[in-house]
Amino acid sequence: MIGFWERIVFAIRCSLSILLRAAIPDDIAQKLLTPTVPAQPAPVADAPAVSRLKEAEQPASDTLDRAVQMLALLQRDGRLIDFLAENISAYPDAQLGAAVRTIHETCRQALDRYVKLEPVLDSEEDQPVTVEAGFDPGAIKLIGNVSGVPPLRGLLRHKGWRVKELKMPPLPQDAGRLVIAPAEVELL
Amino acid sequence: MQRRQSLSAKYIVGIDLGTTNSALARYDLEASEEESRIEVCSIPQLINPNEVAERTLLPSFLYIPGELDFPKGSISLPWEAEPKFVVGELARKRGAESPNRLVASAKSWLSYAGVSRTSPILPRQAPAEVLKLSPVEASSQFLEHLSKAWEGSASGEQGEVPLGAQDILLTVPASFDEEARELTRRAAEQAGYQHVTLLEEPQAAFYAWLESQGESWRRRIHVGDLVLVCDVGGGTTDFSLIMVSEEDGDLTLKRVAVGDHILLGGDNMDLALARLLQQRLEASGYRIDTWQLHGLWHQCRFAKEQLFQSPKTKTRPITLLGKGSKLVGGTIKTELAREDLDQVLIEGFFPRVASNELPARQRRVGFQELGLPYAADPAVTRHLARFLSEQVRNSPESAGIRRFLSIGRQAGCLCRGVLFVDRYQLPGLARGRLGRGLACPTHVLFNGGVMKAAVLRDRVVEVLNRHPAAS
Repeated sequence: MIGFWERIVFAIRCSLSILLRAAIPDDIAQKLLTPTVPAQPAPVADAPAVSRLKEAEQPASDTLDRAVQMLALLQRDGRLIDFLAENISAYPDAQLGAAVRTIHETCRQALDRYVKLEPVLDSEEDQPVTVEAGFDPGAIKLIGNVSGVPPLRGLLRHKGWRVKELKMPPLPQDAGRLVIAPAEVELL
Repeated sequence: MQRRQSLSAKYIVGIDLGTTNSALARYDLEASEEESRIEVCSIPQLINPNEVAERTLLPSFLYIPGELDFPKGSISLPWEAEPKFVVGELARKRGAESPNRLVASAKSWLSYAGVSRTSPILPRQAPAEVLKLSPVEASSQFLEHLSKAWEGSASGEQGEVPLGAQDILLTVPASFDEEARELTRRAAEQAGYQHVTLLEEPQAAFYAWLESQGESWRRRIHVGDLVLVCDVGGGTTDFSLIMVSEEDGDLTLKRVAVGDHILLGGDNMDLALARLLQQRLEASGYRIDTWQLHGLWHQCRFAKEQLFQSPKTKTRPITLLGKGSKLVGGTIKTELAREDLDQVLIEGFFPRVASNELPARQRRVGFQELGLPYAADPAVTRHLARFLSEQVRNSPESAGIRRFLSIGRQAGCLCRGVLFVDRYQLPGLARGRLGRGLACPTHVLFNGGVMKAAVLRDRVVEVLNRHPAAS
């Protein structure tokens, strides 16, 4: 348990550190972020394997729910999952095209409502562009004659997409979180 | 019109409790001259289960949820964890899926003398276990929603003085009788509104137009002008005549005539288009069920608006996606053509009529009507002709109108531009030619969603201009 005075010291150190360096001192981070181990009954032989699984799952469950929610929103407002799940090989282009136009419109509206996207590099595609030094390789992928030292000149082939803002509604309260679309039953 | 002033009010609030949609705007009494302006407020409401969002309109729909409708906790509002009713967009969406628990058009019921308006009669087809509401209670629920939304709104200022203590202007159709007005006041009282003044809709439309004109209204409107307010909305059509006069140097508007509250509007027009397409599809061998007709209805509305906005376009595609998982497989493709609009909307709802034509008679039934008295004749122009010819016959002010007619004949005005006021947008003005035996307005003020289409406005003005020639 961290004592009262120790907490005061931590608080002052943290605020100064954040103001001056935009970071929390490492030793404080270690002390605060490692979960304290409460007294536990002696674990059963295969319990360690189970608890490790649970630990891995628990932080991810919110991510799982949000992934399901995103699919659920695109299905509810745009019927995207119905579209992807259908076998469209037999349909003539005209019929498929008509359906796709509608799905495109409704999915786009749904996406706009919940996610604000922006391009990573906001330039015209197929035009020259400069990749600056210190670029984020997760955000800009280099292809072709990949050599040299930044700044690099090349042609922009794809603008990339990045989330600017996510406005997701709150998650449903119960186990229905795995449901992408409820089944519909008409009562007569 | 007596205004009650609230001493603690910080805003003057205008509320339009519409048949299909309601809205709220406010005017900051404490803002300086440069900044003060009318602001339309966003209204938080449930738009999906678990999702509250702000919209500038609050659909006037109320859904009475049962145990089977929504997952527990998914319809909670910021101000109420377990509301008894769902109000707004989610109510409308859910009502389309499950119509027996939906209260719609409460305002039209409020004006219908053929039922007991204070008895719990809505929804009409509700199952036995549902606790029904009276039209007054339903209207009160909408006002209460606005009030609670106001309280919870972000601005700390607004939260201090509740909506009920502000100066409220509530619009009512001019055709509302004394009882309907009294019931509206009662609904407002039940919602906690203490300082309510009722304002007639045609006058409100006129004030909105005046506000938009700034100072230039003086060039367009003069004392002695007679303005026809033609308000065709989603579900209702209302006509009124407003005389522009002067009192102590101030411009005053006096409503000299009002027509019946006609249950005919844009929804009927869209449905007529949908039915036309349905017939065409069924003739080609497709089966269109109720749900698809609903989808057809909505698509026709959008296609119609697009055709009206782009006069060069000849057709707009309409696609009905397949139900269930046969999305593409069940897709039905058709189109709405400009000829369909002309035939169904313009000739069907706005035909050229002579000034002495009367609308088809309302069905008179011996037994109790189950529903609202929807208009038997879809021709808006015929209802308009009857309205204008009745005014000269019945109105005590008709002497004024006839006198005005004689002045007008000398002036000999012709139709020029067109005036349109959408409550959230702005207008133009038209002059009608004058004639005899018929109330002849000098100007037409258009209001309501349907009148956004220039073609329909032109047609109404054309019909008005031809009246004298025909009689």
